Amino acid sequence: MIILFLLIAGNAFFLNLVLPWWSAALPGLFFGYRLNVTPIRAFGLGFFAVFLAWGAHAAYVHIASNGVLSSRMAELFGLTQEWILIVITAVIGGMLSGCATLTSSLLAHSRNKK
Amino acid sequence: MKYLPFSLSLAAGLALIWVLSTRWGNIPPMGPFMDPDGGFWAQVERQPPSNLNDQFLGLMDSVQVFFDDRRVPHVFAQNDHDLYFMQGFLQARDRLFQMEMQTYDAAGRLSELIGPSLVERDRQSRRWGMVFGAEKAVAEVQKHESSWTIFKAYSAGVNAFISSLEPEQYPLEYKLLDISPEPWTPLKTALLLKNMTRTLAAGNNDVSHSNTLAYFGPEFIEQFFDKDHDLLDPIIPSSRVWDFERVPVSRPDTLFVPKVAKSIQPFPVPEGIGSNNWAVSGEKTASGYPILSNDPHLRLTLPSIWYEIQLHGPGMNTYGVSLLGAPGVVIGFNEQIAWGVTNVAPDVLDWYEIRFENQKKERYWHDEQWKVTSKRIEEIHVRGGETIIDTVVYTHHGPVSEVSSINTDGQKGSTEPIYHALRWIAHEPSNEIRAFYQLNRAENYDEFVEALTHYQAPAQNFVFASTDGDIALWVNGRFPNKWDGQGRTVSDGTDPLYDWQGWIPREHHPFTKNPERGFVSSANQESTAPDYPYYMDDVYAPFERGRRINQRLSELENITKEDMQALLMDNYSYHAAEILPNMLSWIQTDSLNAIQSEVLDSLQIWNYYNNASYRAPSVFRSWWYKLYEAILVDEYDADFPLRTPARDRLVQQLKEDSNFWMVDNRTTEVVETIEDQATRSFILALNDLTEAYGVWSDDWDWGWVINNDIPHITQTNGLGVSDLYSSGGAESVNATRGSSGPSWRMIVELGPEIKAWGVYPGGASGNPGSPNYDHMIESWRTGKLYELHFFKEPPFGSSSLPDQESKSLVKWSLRP
Repeated sequence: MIILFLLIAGNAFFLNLVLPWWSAALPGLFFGYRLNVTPIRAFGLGFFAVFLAWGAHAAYVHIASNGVLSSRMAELFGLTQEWILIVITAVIGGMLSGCATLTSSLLAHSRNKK
Repeated sequence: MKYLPFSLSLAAGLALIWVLSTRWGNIPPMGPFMDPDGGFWAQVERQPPSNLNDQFLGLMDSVQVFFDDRRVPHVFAQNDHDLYFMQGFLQARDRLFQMEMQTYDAAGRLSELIGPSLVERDRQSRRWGMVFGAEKAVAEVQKHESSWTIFKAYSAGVNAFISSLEPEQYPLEYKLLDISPEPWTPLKTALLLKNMTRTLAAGNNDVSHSNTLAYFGPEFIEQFFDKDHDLLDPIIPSSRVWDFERVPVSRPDTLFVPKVAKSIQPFPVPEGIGSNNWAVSGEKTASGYPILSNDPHLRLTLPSIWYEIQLHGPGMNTYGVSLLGAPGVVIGFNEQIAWGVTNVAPDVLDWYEIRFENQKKERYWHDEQWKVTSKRIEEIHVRGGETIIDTVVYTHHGPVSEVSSINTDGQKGSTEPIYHALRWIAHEPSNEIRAFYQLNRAENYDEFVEALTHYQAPAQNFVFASTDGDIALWVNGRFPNKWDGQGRTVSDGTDPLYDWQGWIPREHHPFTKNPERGFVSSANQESTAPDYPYYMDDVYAPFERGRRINQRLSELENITKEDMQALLMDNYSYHAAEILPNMLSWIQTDSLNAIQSEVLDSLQIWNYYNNASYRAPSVFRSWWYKLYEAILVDEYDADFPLRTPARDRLVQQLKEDSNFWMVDNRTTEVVETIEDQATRSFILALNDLTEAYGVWSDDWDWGWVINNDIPHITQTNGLGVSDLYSSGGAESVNATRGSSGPSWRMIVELGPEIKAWGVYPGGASGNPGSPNYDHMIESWRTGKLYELHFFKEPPFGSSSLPDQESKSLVKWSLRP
């Protein structure tokens, strides 16, 4: 399961470098089918994998740039803290991946039911 | 049924994707916007631009570009096409959104991008014939082959950049608004120039002056609007003799009385629009070389209105600031000359009351006959709304706007529609880019003057200095030849005597070359002394900045760059020096409490400098506003626009007769004296300041009260800078005040090797995620200048630069 978690996180990160934002859903769709866990766990696993991938990516950009843009964006969205932007980014990626992983694992469940 | 959970989950996932890819109100589509690799995070510039050695489509020959430590590009090209192609490419690369916004605004298309909130502004832009004027300009440019080549090359450069972009690479603002760039065209360059004309040459008081004349009568006009201030020091020294006869014009016997109109200026020109420039001859400088200085004052925005660039090509090497969307350098220097501009504000915009035959508006009465109108259908596309169709009627004067008038004989408050046609310099065919093209290449005074013949609007005071040792100043533009006072009021649209009857011949334009006093200067004040034979306008900036500059330049000898720098940052307030002693003498000190007396004491010892760390300027400004209001408020009680006296004119009136008829508030039983008014307004001013800034403390520092913000061009929160603790003021040479002021400060010394310094409040990059977005603001705020790198040859491989500096240069070698 840890391997699948890392596969989803890693693939989401690399796919995003070449594909648009919705690519965060693809690893979950692909690997979720191989997950044999409860739906809640499937969602959680997919969610946290990309939460981590996107969150780390955003956090890296924020720190490497001394927050030059994140501070402006935080003000634009009326946020008091810049790290909230990183969390929002991570949650968006996580939600996409969570939904995808869940969908895929539910498909596997349904097929196995017979 | 077994697939139900799967189906629900799939539907939820797809719905999530839809929600995240949709714009909700002002919230951008959050999926693509927050994507850490493609969204706003990708806009963060982690590395400076890097060296490039590559093929570049669209070039005719090889081009080199060097970016210096402030990321100013220095372009070395083998032909005009490549030079302006690269300028277009680089400007788009750094400032694409700004370029597009400015031209969408000029074209009346902002609602396409933003939505219904900007429909009225767009409608006004269309009714003012902005596109009509720009189309005429393009037709004029096409007549001149080399100008047309530049326009096309510049557009191709912009488009080369636009077509290189994937949506993920769009600048931040495109992602925020969820829009994409559209191809650039020569018409857009023309629109940009019309936008400058609208900013700088659309001011007029025709309606309010007519109303003032009708409401207060001619004596009032004479008292407050006809006389020059005693301290006025005109741009062209009054010693200048006008040794020509003016070209005569016919004038009507009596002045037309228009209907009292309620129209208001749709594009009000804020007081922040002004500028200074001057040049001193080598006789007055320490080095023996002429020095030229210029600081154009405009609304301050991020990104800045200016873009610094060096352009090196066949027969030219020029450096300075350019406008985003226009080829060439607007203010700058080359190896022989330097030039700068300030606004003139001649009356080049007049309103005519039109008599239509009937509501169809197909014919109008002019010169004893019915003349046919033409119509232009304007389609305003609105984002998230229905397209608006607006038919604009054109007479030979220009486009017609409907305004409401007050029916003065009938019941109070009843109105009827009337029609005002707009006669405006922006609708005359012109080719200003040709003027800049030639200025950039001019080698001496004569070539400078020849270049100016192609410049029409917005009229500017062009200051000049050359390595030959000449200094000069031309009040330059195209000026209608008017009878005295023509177009000051709303004109009779039926009478040809009110039409513009030709132009002031160029040889009669006001100018001065190498005057005896050893310097030339301008600060938007009146162009000439009253003996100049032509009528140009009655509205100029108050005397204060101009007089201060001339006074300092007269006093100074052995002038250095540092002296010029100090004058650019000079915060002296002539206005306060003129009126504050009187105000202090009027105040009744026994009606003040302890704190109020303490504040008053600080004004007693103030040296009239608008320095950030002083509190006195804050108090003085509020006090003056309150006093001004107290004097005028009861007389200015009409419900239609009226003209108010200029600051310096009212000061003079108060000094001549401190209890003149307007001082008393006629709505009260008692007769107020100036002492009553001064004391009351002082207390009111302190109350206001206390409410806004708390108790009398450092929070009252002028640096804060000046309220200097530099907002983003779209006023988006977070993309501007706020509360810059700044010195300066409306009446100081350093005309910094809330959100407007010196948009570029430049000093050039014209020795055998040109030396130049400059700064503007912003940075080369328009990307809020770049360190070069606003990196010069702190230097600008504190009056520091950067030495400008002006290369005579490509800097690599030459010994002209210290190693360190040449290492910080980024080089692009491009080949076709």
